[in-house]
Amino acid sequence: MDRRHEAGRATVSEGDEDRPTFAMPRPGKTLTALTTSALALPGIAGSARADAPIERASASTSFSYYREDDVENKRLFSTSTAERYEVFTKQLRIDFPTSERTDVGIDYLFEDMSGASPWFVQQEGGRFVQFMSGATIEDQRHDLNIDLDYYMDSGKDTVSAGFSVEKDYESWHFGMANERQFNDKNTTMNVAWSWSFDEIEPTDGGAAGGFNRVKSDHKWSVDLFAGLTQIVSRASVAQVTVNYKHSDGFLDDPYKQIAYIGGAAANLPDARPHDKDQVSVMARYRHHFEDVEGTLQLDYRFYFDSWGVTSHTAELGWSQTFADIVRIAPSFRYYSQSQADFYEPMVAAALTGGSTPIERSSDFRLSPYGALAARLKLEVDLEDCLAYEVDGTLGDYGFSEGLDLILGLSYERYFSDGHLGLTTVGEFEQSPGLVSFHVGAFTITGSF
Amino acid sequence: MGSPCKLELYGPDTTAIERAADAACREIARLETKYSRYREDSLASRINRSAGSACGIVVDDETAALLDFAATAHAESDGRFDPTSGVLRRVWDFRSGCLPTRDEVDETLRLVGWSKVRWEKPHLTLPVVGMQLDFGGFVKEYATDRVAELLRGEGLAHGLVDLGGDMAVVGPQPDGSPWLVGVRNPRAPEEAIARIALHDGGLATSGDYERCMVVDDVRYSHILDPRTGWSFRGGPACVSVRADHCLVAGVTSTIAMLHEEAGAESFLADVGLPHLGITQSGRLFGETELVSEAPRSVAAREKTRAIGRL
Repeated sequence: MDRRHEAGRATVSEGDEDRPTFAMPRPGKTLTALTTSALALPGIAGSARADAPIERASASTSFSYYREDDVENKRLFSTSTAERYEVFTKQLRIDFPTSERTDVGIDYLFEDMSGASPWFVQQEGGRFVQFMSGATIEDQRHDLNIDLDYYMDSGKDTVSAGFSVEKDYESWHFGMANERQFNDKNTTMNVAWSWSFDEIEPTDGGAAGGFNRVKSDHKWSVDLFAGLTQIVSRASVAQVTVNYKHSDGFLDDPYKQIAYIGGAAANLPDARPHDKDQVSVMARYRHHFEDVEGTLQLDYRFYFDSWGVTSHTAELGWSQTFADIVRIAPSFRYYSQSQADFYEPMVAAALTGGSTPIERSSDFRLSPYGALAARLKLEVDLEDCLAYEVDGTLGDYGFSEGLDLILGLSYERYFSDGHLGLTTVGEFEQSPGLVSFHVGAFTITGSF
Repeated sequence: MGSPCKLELYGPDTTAIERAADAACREIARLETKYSRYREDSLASRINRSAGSACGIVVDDETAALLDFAATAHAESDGRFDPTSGVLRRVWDFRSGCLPTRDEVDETLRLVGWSKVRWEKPHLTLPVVGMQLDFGGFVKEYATDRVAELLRGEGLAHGLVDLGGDMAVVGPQPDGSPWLVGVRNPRAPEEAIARIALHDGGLATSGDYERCMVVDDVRYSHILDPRTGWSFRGGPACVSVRADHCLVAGVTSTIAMLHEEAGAESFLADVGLPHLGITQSGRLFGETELVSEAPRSVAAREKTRAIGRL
């Protein structure tokens, strides 16, 4: 789950979640018939084989660097800084079994962010240009999440909780998820719900801050998820998921404003509705080509919300394995979104005098645009690269006698523009604050 | 069970292990008493004596489930697996070195055919006098699975059950590593032609290791095709199959042996179970490194792989 709040974050994350791998082959009709018949025999149905708790402890650490392109000259207000966001992220995850049927996962993330973010849109030289926030923002975020899994013969239940804190923002969440498998484990159903509570205390908030910014406020949200994964054949897997989220409370971005065309009055603060309903539906398909050891990946996601934004995401990827050791996965993603009902880069002066629009935002993330992203991932699988002796107690926590290491490297280039979207966008509708970025990451995963 | 049986068990408590092993031996003895065709007092013999009588015999739940399983195997194998084929043993005497006559085989074939049997749970009727049900083709594998499950129920976490080559894992070796099992070379039974690592589940092997007859330079294996009554030729030399249950593995390997070599390979590929086979000419097919990996939660592995994306 992407728990990053929208305010103050310039990243646009289109929701990546756990992906189904090329999983077990689909048993033929004969095997299914024999196995079903065998299971009817008294006293031989064994305890869970597949979907056993992780038997090996594992840890994973990653380092990533995200950098947004400077605002282009022609879209930048002359006296504004052009520089945008830069984020260093370090993450550590540990998983280990705590009993035959349970395991624990702990995920800690630390982010170091600095840079400027879009503040409001101005008019200069007959064009809309972006004015970036003045002082360079520097912030650090700590994020901790803990999951507890309980495994049954054909499924698992998970309870998770966590929090995220940074200088101006705190978020707490907890949730439950259930996974059940049917049809000889060919069909998997997932349902999950989670609840979160966020509190924001913007920097320079309140009357004293001078920015007409709220001093502190909060919001809560509830998220429901359902998914169905089906092993279609020995070489393919399909998945369909549905997600609904309701958010309530302070949903504005206190660091953004919307300016009047012609500057007739002071900038208005970003003001959004007090609630939001979001729905997204996603379909995924993976097909493995045994003879070339490659997998085709196709994803499509449709999203719409009560603010008027609808979006489409389509991703095409190929994962190629060499000798079971090296995996290279290039992928391409296309994204298009329509604007929120209350989005406007600037407010027309004619609306002054008692009829200021109640809801308004110049945030580029609510503007109409399209985006293209290309990503390349490289993974090297070093199985059994280190052998060691393990005593009894460590063995209970999932340590076996060898280390398997996976090294990963990835790079993504993302580019967005008003004209890339599916709907035509006028020159004065496109946000000058649309972002493009590079992100590179390095990961090491070890299974003990 | 007619073959050497071995239990390899590990645990911290010797008394508990001995108790568990005793329970296992009692279970094996129970199944032997019940299903052996060599014992006058066995259920199998009672069933066979009921052949020809119109009212048939009512069987218990365990036998009913075994018969359902046999029926499924018969259907899925197009008749290659047939629990009524035991009577053919009467006309095929491999020690004599003489082939049966065509007439002898045809006469005996009248008594063979699961489709002739009326099985309406719990009523079993063998309509023709002389028909026999031979549980030997699968009870040993069933016993292997039952013993493994029983031992797990007794609290053992590490062990291997080996009933004459039919194997089921109670749990991996104490250090978590799999059991290493050798598959005998059909043409040189003291040598292993492959090593199979078993972390869990069962393993069964069918092969024409023993009891073949050579007449006029032609090799007749003891594997008889219930559809023709004749010794089956053209099949592989041996097939080892790995499945969650030894019973399923055993029946699959038996059925595979009754296919011509190419047919056996595609049958096994269709079934989709890990397997290893050896052709008459000594060529290995299937997963030539039949390694059973420790199951790792796919989700956990994927979660850790997910890190590294923003």
